[in-house]
Amino acid sequence: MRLLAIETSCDETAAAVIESDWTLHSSVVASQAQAHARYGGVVPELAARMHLERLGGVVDQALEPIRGGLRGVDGIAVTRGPGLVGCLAVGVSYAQGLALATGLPLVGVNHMTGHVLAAKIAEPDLEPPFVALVVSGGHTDLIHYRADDDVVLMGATRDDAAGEAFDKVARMLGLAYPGGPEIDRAAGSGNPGRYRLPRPLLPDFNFSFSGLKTAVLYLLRGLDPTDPQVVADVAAGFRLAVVETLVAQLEAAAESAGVSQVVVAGGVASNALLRETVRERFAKVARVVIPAPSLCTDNAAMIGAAGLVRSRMRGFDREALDADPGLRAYAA
Amino acid sequence: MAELVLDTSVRGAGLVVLSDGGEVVGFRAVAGGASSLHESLADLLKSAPARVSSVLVARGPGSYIGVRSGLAAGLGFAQGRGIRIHLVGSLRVVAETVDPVDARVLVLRSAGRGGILGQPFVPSGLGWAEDGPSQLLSGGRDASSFWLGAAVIIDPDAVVPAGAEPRRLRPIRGLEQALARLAVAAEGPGVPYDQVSADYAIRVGAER
Ligand SMILES: [Zn+2]
Repeated sequence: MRLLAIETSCDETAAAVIESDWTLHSSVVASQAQAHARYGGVVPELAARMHLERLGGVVDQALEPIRGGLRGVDGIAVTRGPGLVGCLAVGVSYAQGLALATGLPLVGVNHMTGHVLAAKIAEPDLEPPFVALVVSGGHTDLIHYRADDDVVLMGATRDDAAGEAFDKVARMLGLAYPGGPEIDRAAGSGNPGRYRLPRPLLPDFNFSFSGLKTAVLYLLRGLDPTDPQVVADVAAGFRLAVVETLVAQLEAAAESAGVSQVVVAGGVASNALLRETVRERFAKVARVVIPAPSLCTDNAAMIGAAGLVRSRMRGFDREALDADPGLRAYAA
Repeated sequence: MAELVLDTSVRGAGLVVLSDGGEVVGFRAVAGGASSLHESLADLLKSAPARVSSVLVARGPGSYIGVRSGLAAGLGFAQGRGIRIHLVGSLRVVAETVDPVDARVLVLRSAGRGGILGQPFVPSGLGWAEDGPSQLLSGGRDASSFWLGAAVIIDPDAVVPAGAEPRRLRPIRGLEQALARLAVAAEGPGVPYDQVSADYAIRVGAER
């Protein structure tokens, strides 16, 4: 079984070809980050327009290593939600057109499940149960992945997602969008101990980053934000506070669920400090699976992985399939 | 040989047409939503198994989700079969419901929320040619200046605001026949798969 996978839920236009033994033949991502940077965030209408303009080329490129192109593929996986309505409509409609033209079966995939199952590409022998920390621009979730058809949301953010907090603090520090990589770069030359920021720990494995964001705002009032050292130190302090909060809740969730495997996924999982800290903390107590950074940020390989699992579990969506912007995260 | 034609630019509705030499071989109404477009397309292809050799898609302006869904589905189909894709402006489709008269015309269509989409056309051969970009007019006041000097207005949705009394042309054919005509007229290599894009009407401000 070989799937062509398509992802257009937010601001990355992506296509990939994956084999049922988890071999990744190709993974092409056309990022729109630069186009949205000057607006300080994703502009939905611009994103949908760019998906339409890029999808054809991106799919052709993903099919390049496949002998026979589309004829060498057995099915199509496409993100059906959650995400931006216009963006999802482009991906789903395109996949439907492709399926009708070729007779290939179609499987609709939950984008958030895709983030988690990117771990299967990284380490194919990973089997449930495990606890996963999923951190991205829109989500900060702790899930108990008990089986492919039994995923329980243990906790989530009550306000800003971690990625969102990175974007907002980056703006306060005069850094560019997207904030995650910018704060990472600035923090590299900073002293994380110079300014102590709070670690907001909520009960029940939930998160809240708005208080931390406000703490940075107040801290900056007494400082000179044009001083590069101040920016570096605040960035380092903020990054450490976020990472320590995420890891503390992951530890609590893994212990409560009684699992011996943890997965970290989502765009923020490409953060080097988060990766190192999780590996260190769990070194002696659990197996840690963190996909390569290119599989953490939005991509279609992860959609292919989730498509393989879903089509195995429930078969293909033979009937029509609708984009669902409000699809509950991790719903099958 | 046949052409597959899609026009989903009207809010909540659309048409899928199969055309052979300008004749409508079959058509389905699209109720709205991606799955409905898929169903209409699948159904039409099943009932009229003519060999589709090219695709024509209305590229807007019109319904935000509709235009993008139609373009994406058309692109996917064309790429999946390795056949040509042609694009046509949605207001040109409306113009083709009327035979050319010796005048410049404005095509108007409701854009919802009181807005009006408009575009000028001039006669060209057996049909019409664009005489300017499509515009989104935010209300009657702006629209009245927009159609000043135009001899005729085609107005399928009856959107002409009070006070304006343009000469109206009556459609002599349905949208599906207009699409079939345009499919035959579409010539050349079509649009490369990586250059398919929607028509975003130029916004004409509310203030004057
Ligand atoms: Zn994502």
